[in-house]
Amino acid sequence: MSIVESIAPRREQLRQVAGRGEVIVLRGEPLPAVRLNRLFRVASAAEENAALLAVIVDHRGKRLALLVDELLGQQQVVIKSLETNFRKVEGAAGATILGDGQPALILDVAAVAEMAKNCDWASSIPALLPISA
Amino acid sequence: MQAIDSASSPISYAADIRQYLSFALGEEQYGIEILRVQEIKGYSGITPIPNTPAHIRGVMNLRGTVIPVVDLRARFSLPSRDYDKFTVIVVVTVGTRIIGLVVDAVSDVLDIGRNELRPAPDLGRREDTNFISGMAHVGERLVVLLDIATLLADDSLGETATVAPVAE
Repeated sequence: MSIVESIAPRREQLRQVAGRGEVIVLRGEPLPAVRLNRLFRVASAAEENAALLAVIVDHRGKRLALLVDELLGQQQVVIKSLETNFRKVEGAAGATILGDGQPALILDVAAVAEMAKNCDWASSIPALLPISA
Repeated sequence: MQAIDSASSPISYAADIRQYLSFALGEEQYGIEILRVQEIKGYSGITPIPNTPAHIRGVMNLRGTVIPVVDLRARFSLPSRDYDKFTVIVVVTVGTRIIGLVVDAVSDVLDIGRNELRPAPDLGRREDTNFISGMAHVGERLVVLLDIATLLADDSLGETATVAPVAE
């Protein structure tokens, strides 16, 4: 289990750090904040409305806040390989097929943390992918 | 059945004629070897994949298997078009991989003899035509025959370049 907790951060909890990134101040502790929409270059309605949610994850003892639009639920899934027919997708551990038949990606927290380290946030323009197909 | 019948017929039918599934992208007609085509599906349920080229529309669920979907219009830098009721996904096999191709509409299955095949045109050095295996006149239509393995090989879809061609 990577997820520690999920919160709806208040505006003042999100802080810019020297133009290099953002942190979320959670109970006095600054955690690196990763805007998943920017990392994955997708449009985010919640980002514009400042209505993001933060999912706090634990990666090898280090905590990280993943900023997302919405939480949909929790379920057990069967992991399907993306590499069988496609290739490795950076940041994804694999895919699964949801109840409605639609595939969904499964995040690899370690890989996301690594991507976030190397991400040039200034150049990661959102809105390159539609929100839904 | 046809193969068996033709083998016993005086003219060697199967050796000189290949079947191609033809489909449309705008005004142009294309063909893929029918042996590569696994099935044809309606366009639905595509999940986009982040940080991939625009022509990779995402992945879809093919009876429990996750397969990539490539938009051939985008792959050929043709102007994009809204998907409609004729838009289909042609599911092809390339080596061990299964890949979906979004096309405007499928037309029919063409029998094209080897002597009707024309080589791919040389469109200059800037235009890479390796993925065209040939062209053929079918009635009034000019059909561009695609070499799917080559087309998808340089498409960040994995090591499709190493797969063997369809058995003769």
